[in-house]
Amino acid sequence: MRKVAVVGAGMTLFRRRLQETGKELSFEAARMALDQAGIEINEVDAVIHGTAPDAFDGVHMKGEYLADGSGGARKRYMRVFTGGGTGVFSAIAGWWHVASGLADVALVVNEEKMSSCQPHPQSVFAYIWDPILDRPLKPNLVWIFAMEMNRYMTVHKIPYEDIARVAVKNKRNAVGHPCAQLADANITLDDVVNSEMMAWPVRRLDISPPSDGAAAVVLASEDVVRKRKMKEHAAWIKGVGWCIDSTMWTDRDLYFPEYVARAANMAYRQAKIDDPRKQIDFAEPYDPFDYKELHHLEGLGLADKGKAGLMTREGVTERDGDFPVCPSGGLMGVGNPIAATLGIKIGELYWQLTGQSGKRQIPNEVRTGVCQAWGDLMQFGSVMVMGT
Amino acid sequence: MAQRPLDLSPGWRDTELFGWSPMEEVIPSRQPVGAMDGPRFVADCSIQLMPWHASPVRVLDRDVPNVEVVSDTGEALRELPMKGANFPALRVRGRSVEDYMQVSVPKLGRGFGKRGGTVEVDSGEVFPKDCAKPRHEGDTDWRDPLRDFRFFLDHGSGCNAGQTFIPIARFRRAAGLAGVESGEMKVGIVGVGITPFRPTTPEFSWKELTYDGAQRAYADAGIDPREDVDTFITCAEDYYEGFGIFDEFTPDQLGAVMRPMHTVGGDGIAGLANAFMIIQSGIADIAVVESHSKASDILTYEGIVAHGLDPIWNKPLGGHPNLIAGLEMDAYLRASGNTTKDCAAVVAKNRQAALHNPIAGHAARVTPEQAEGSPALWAPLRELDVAPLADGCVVLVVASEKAARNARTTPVWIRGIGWATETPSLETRDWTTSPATRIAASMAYAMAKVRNPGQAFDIAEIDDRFSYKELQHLEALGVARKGQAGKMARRGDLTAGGKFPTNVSGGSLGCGNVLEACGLHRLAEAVLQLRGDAGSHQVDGARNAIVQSWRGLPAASGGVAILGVGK
Repeated sequence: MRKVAVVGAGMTLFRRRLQETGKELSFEAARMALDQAGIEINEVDAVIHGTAPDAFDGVHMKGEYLADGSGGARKRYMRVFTGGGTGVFSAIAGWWHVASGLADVALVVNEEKMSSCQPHPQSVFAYIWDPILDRPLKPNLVWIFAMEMNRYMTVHKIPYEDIARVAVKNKRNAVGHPCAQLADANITLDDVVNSEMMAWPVRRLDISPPSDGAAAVVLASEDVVRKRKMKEHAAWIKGVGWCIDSTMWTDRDLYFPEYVARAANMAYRQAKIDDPRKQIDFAEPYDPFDYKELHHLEGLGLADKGKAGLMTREGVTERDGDFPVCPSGGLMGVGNPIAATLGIKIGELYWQLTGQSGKRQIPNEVRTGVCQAWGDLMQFGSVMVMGT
Repeated sequence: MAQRPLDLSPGWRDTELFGWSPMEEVIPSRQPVGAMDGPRFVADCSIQLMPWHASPVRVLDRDVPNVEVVSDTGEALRELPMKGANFPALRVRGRSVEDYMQVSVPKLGRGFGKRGGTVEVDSGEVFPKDCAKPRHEGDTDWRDPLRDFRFFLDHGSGCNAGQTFIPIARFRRAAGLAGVESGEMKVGIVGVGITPFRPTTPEFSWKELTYDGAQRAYADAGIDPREDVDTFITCAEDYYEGFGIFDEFTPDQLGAVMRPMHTVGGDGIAGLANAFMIIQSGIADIAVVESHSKASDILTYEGIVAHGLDPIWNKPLGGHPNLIAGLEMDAYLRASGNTTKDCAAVVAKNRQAALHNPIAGHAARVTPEQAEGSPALWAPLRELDVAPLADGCVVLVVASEKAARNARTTPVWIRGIGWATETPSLETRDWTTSPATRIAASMAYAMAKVRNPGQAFDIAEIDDRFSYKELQHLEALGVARKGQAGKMARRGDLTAGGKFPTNVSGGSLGCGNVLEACGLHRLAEAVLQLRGDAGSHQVDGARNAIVQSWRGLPAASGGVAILGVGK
């Protein structure tokens, strides 16, 4: 197994209805990441593309369609797909391209263009259900996440305000982020609590916005980092893990994401982390809904079951707290173009670890971080541990 | 072959000197498990040092583990001390031919490659019996490293002063693939499950179909998916499956619940490449790759294919998407000089070959005349030039070297693998030569150290979703010369009894187009052939196979895998 480093990252503005096509967004992000790494596209051995449902763009074999935008034409080009988990998973696939020795430099590009889907991307989510058991009920993502949130709140007796605080924290954190869609320096807890009820207990401001955008990272082997003298701005991938649960979401207790816990264990084992709370300095868990950040912190073993809300209330997870969580602003603040959240997860870890986060930089020194994405039908977790 | 008696020199056991000792209990990690205790090869050579050589001359210009040069008295030499001295009976010995290939002997003039030098390999199993002598006079077959060596030894051309002895390194550089290393670990395919392909499967859902394929593969490999398998991979596309996020529906029927599993938006060889890399990275020992087709559930296949076209420039033009294949066929035939008659011969060959394959869904006694007489719906592409859709599932079990040695079946090693994508843009892509196949093949050849693909393989399983594609791919792979693939098809070279049996399984034309599972099906058929388990369509003595896949319309991406048994 070869050591693999992230040596560059880039992401585009996250907005609904950007004028660019998916190919152009991919190009923009790939160009930024390559420029940051100081690497030309002809030095890249393999391109890995991550993008979530084809139906968003209405293009069959979307990976093929985007190949030339992300620099994959006439190259080793691979598309991996794990629903929302693609945000971190494509970087895991990039990791094994380099770790296995089949590539020295790999470019990971994630793109999502949800606005092509009219009137709302929610209509694509009508086709993610089991066609016999679920689809006739005409479920909707907000409803089932309301069920999961309710279960989580009920089991642990968590007050709604503890969950809403996550939305406040992340939207404020996003203020320094140049790509952010919903940054708000003045948002208060009352704003979230009093926002429109979508499906009890989920309010409008509990939900991350659909978005268009792309993000990219450049991975390089240890040899390349040494030869090109990139050590100064390299963050090393220490461990990767991924895990999928059954399709039958109705068969499991939704209060705890066991699949995230298993993925995290896989990554921690590889990174030689026995006590994640002590050995990890900050986290970027997947937060498409505010309760998911808490849910995932518990899954990652960074909080006791039911105690993540308390950490938020006590300010531990603030950027200047003891254990910063989503210092980027997360999906709640920056936006949720599903696979392109690579830039908020892997990208933010890279920028924070190498001290390039600018206004978002965590004031305390950080050496090890963990990021995670979550996907499919509340069933997939992908985890990556990075360090300096 | 007779085994040479080992004459161990005093320094022979010294691990510090040579990095290894035949007496060591522990076999160095880069050696295949089961390596023999003694040297695997002994090669005789003579060296005449010329007066103008600097003295002393190091025999090996850099340290090569496991290889040493000994004098006729059995004394190990690292340097040749005297100018102008003659060493008539030097002996190079080492543990694997791969090591030997890296030996670089500087400044030895023409002496080293002296005609008549001999190589003896003391294990008949490791190399085919005939490998030390060329099949035909003047044959420059590069099938395995030993032959390379033999060629250079015989022709005395491999060793100009200061040059690397065997130009593998040069070849890699020329191909621009210096980064490709096959890694430290071998990876093999140890289990195959194929469900019989059928035009429609009303009694099974796609989940049940997948379950059927998976349990066949697990039974074949003798593994329990819930305990033995470290990672699972499905190759699928949302639109074919009719789901928003198909990855959701992959784990249950494979036994992958609560395990690492992901979807690859690619064909079977892309899935295999992922399995190969995950195992090479050292985080998994056994991986399962699955792909299936439930094409009979698709109401408007051509509508789905049309959605693969650029939504702004191409899709609005309308028409049946097979017209792209028709245009490509026309471009290819004009550029290569092959004819529609050659394509008709491919159709007849594959449809008839499928009669011997019990899993084939579209076997028929089609003649070339019938193929040529079918309606030219997308001229010059005719109705019978198109592989008909079928339902089916293919599952492969892939294992690391260690796990493969414990498997129930003969492991089929992945000697090389490559994949690539040409631009998706119809306006700017190369329509004639399938560049994705060429790029993927050069990667796989570099990894498998294949120099002359025309001679290196016993059988081929090549994508033939359109008849002309088989010819185009054979030429892109370099196994047929440009414009010659058609002649090979018409001469009967590509049949089971011919010179280069290609798609003896029946290919997609005979078995059916199983969408993303086509690549896995090509792999599975090659694996069965190499194991000797292909039954009624077995090609005798097949030991090396080349497998190629294409993703189908409108994509221009594909993969190449080189499989082999033994060693």
